[in-house]
Amino acid sequence: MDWLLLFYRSFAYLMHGIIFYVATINLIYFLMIALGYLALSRYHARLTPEERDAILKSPLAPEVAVVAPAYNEALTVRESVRGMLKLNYPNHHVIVVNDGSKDDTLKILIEEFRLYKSSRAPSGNLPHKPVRAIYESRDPIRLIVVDKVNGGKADSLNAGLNVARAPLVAAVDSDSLLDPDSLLHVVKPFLEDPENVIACGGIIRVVNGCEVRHSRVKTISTASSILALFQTIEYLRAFLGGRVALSFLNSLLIISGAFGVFRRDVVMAAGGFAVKTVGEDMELVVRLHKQYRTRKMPYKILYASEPLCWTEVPESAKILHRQRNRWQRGTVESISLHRRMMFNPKFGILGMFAIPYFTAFEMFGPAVECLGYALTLIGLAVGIIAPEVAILFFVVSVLFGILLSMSAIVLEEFTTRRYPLVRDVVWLFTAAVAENLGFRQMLTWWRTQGLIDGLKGKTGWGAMERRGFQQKTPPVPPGERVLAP
Amino acid sequence: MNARPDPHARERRARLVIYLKTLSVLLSYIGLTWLIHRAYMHKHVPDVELSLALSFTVQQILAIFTLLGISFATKFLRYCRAQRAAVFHPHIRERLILHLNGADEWTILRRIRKNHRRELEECLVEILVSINGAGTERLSEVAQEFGLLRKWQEQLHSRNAQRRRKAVSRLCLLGPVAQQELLKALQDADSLVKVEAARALTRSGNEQMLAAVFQMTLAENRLMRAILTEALRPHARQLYRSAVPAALRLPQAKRVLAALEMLRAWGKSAVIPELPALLAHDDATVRAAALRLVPQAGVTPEIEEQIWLALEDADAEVRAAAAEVCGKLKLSSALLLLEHTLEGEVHGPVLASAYALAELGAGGCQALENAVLSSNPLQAAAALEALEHVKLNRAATVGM
Repeated sequence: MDWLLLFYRSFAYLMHGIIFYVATINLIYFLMIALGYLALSRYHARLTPEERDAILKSPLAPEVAVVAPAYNEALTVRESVRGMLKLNYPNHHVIVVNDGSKDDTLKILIEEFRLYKSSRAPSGNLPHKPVRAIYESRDPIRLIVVDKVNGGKADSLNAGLNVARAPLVAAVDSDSLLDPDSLLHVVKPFLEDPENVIACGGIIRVVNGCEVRHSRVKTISTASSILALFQTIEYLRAFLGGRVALSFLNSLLIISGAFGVFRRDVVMAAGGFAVKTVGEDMELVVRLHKQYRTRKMPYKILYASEPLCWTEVPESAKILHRQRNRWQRGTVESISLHRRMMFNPKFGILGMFAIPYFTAFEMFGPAVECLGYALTLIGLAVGIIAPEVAILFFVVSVLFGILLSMSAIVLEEFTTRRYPLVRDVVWLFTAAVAENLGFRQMLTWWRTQGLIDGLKGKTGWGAMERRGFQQKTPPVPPGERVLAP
Repeated sequence: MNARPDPHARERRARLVIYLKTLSVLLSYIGLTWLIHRAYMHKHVPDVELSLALSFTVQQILAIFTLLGISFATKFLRYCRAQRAAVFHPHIRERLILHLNGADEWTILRRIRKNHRRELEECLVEILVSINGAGTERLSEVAQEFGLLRKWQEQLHSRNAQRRRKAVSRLCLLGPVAQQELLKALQDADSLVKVEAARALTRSGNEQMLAAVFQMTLAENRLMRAILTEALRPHARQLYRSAVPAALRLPQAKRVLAALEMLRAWGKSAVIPELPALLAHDDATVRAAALRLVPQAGVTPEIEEQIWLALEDADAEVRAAAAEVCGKLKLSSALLLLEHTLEGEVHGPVLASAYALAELGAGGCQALENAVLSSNPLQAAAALEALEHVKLNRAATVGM
């Protein structure tokens, strides 16, 4: 009898703990969305056309090296590199790092851009797998191709950093499409505060459903695939809510690997990208925070609230599962590597809020949510929890999810406003409701698996299948779509 | 005007306001839940926890519908405005253009103003953007007569930066009548207000105004400088008369550096008597920037000697700048010194001197060929790269 009582009591405490946890996480999310909105209202200032033209002509714009690692990207590399070369910026060059591709990536680059083997020597000394050759173009194209032995994304970025000579380096995914004005937007903070800004990221948007022509997103529309549409909502929520707020607090822990600009000297001094992690983007940012805060040096890691980069999100559950597992493992690795920063007042708001928040809610959050669902089911089965209470718990949790997603869409409407058609906004709002009824729970389960894999020390990226931007362009009914600005 | 002396204090205050607003949003959220619980739910659901949870749910639904409402209302409002503009704008524009061309349209314009104040303002701004000279003056009279000038002047004193930006962008269109306001706006706390005002003042071409803008630009960040450098570019000759020499004699190294960067960006050749003094400046960044200006200012024997000295400067950035200048000016007198710089250990000056030697013809190339065989890998690699560029007859562009 005592054992039964103990079980009931433990169960009740655990349930209360989970409810408290869920309430806290939701409250923090909500606060971050509110803070993000207020910060955006004050600091979000788009470049006027005159300012944009002035920077485009200006010799004062710092040189940027766009470093794009490529592994088996034969399908998209031609278009991606063309897009990078055509970016609106007065002083940039592109460094493609062929990471030992097994397909025709290098051959395509050599033929397409008339490359020759150059004697250009790397100026940095970050460790990476051996470089086979460095190529430059015979044409007046500012393109360098580094061909190296396969070593992973971080290894390739390090090779690119060594070859780059520009003061700013943009680390990009070669399979992402950059917005034509992306460099102008992301360099803006470096121009405003060149001494303190050491890194800057921006909004990554979902390209699925958009029309892509000549490596540019021509028309913006919501994706027709349900999975892609749900991820569109997720991206809006992550980039317009959390990251804006964390950037305002100078506690941004991730600059997406798809597009981020760093001061080259800072990254070189920090030792470059870590090769033994799958979350090299997050790890580098956390390491930069750690180094600057330890040395008590002023710095800023910022976030440009403009859509800078378009990425293709998985439309198959299998690939999405693999991606989320990897992301979760990346979070586990980065947090584990820098766990000493946790609750360490030396690291200020980063140690006292950002790292604990990431650990408690981003790293362990999915596991706690899964535990909550399991306990509710057990409680219902053994009659500890009344069905109406369980339903209420689920409804509140779902409603909060809907509120957060809707807030992100409203934030998008008030700031970047990239979905001008009412139809698209209605579609997004519908998805904001629907994604909480199954999709979120599915992601929670996959992320829990990722957490377990991360804690076990599992490594590896897993394959990401690409279809090529040109092939998936949907037919455009006349007058239905709006030109991207 | 919102001119405040300490930008850091201002920034701190702005951040504090954002934190307080966030907190107030949170408190109202909690407050509303509590209110629903106390005023309604508690009476119908006796269990406190359940009542609170239900109140929270109701409050969530309210919040969701409010967000939906706001979003669609904004979209609808925008749509209505666009529709209204499509109907009224052509007629108003026609009347304004007739007035601009000398016709007396006051009566009709006054009538329009009664019912379509916003549309009239929008059309007036649209036309003002595309005209200048006498036309601007005539339409400025309309703005004055209908109280728009006063309205924009008042908005320029608003606490809201967005409103000030909008006001200054409109005042910029009015020409001399708003010049004093624009001059004051150069001291505004918001950088976009300052940029707008500065650009409008540069359009006036008045030397005094140009000098004021130039001086203000020197103290601003690189972004503002990049924007205003372009705005000031057509007036460079006027500025070289007195504003530039005054700036180059300033005691603050940062401002002198800013001035040098702007002069280099203009790319115009000019006599700069202060250059020799700047080449010997205490601050290495100023020395490097002054060196990069030499091709525009021309080489005198005194400056040539200073370039030689700079090739042996303790600062790597200065050595690299000196080598670049030697290459650009094809300064063969510096060949031996460049060879010496090529033997260095720092990447920047070594590479710059290799490229400079490549510009010096046969003598330079001979030196590079010898350097390729050097045991110093940095020197050999730089020499090889420079020779390759000579061979391919292409400009040294990437990453230099």
